[in-house]
Amino acid sequence: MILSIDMVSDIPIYTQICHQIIKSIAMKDLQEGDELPSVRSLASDIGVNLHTINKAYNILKQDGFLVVNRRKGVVVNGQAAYASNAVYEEGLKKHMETLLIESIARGMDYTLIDEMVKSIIEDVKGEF
Amino acid sequence: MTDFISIFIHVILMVSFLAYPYMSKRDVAFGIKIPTSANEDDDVLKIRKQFLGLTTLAGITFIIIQLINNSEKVLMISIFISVVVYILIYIMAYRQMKSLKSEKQWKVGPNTTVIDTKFRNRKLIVSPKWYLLYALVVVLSGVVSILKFDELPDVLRIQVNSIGEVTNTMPKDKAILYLIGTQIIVMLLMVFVQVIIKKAKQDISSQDTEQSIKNNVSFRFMISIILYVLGLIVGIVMFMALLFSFEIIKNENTFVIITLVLTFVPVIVLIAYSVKAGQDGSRLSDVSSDVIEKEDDEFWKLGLIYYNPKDPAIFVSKRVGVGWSLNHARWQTWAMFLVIIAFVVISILLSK
Repeated sequence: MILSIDMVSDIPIYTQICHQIIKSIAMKDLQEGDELPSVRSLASDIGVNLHTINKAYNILKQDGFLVVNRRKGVVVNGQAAYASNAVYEEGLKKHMETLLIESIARGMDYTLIDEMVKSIIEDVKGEF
Repeated sequence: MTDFISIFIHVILMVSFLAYPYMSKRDVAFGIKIPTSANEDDDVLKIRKQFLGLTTLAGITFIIIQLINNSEKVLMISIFISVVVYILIYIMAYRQMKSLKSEKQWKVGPNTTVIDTKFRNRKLIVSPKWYLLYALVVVLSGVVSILKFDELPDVLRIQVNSIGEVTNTMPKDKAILYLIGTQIIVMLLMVFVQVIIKKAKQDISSQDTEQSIKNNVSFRFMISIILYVLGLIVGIVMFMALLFSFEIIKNENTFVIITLVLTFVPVIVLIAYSVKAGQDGSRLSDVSSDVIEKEDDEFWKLGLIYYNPKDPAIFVSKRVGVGWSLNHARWQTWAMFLVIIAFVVISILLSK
């Protein structure tokens, strides 16, 4: 996969890395068992501190997306490890609540929100 | 013979400096980042012309001096002086480019770093099984030494000057250890160069990512092949030096001619390919852009020396010319320098 990091963005670099890796998994660009570069190698290529990469990898490991394989290093985990569950859905609902409440306060059209959701899913999955 | 060699060395030196502007990445002019479209800018062209003119003038002067007084001593001094002069001419162009850049106010694009996570899984260097040929050269030297040991004279010649006078000798057991030891170190060094080619920091353009990855990969692989062959030739030459010490090769002229032809071929191929492909293969495609991509002049002292304490990378792409350089803000870089100096000092002490 291609990582594209904006070095001067307000979004922290570890967050950008997490988002892009998760997106690649969602788009099936990255699949179970695919290897990712070692912490040192990725840090050198991007030109950032080792802690930055460690932080991104640790978050992704905690969320079940990545796992350390004794032979291959950091690899993409099996789908079961990060499959959606009740806890995740509860968290997602809270996130969406915050976002939607603001849009309701601003009097945004519901159909527009619906279209947004559809187009995002279409972008990632290629279909709805 | 010496006449020809010293003139040839001066010509190669001059040509490699003249080729600099044509091998560097298209968005770098004399160590300064520019938009690729600025390569056709009249002021940039003027600086380049001046650089080429001065370098040619200096080169021809050195060749004439060498022709007038052609000796080995003059060659040693004039190589050193000419490299200093060429670098000074470069630094002049660097300063002019720097002030031109602040005048021109070219637009700076987004500071995006693009990484291919599968980069190191691609074919970047020759397959490690080829290193066996390096080992074979060393083994062959060892076998010849063992078989011939009893017939050899007690004292061996290990250094001969260009007119065939023996300038250094050693007792045979010490001489064999010295010659084979140097061989092993040089072969290990050539393997280390391959490791650098594989590990060096990625330098992928964010403007035409897919093509840029392809260019980078084919550049690294070609350089890897050329340097592998060069390493093998150096190994063979060192094997011949051993045969020369053993007086199996008697005529010093044949030895010198074979050595020169064998080593200059890959060097010329290297220069030719570098001009064709450009640093990191950047001249294999011709995307033109009006914005400066990834402004990082501040980390390149004089456009030559990379110094970035925040970058954990040790091996990086060179700014000027082709190949790879080091991050001078890392302790590992200085440790490597120390090891190299130690090797040189030890080999000088041993040959005394």
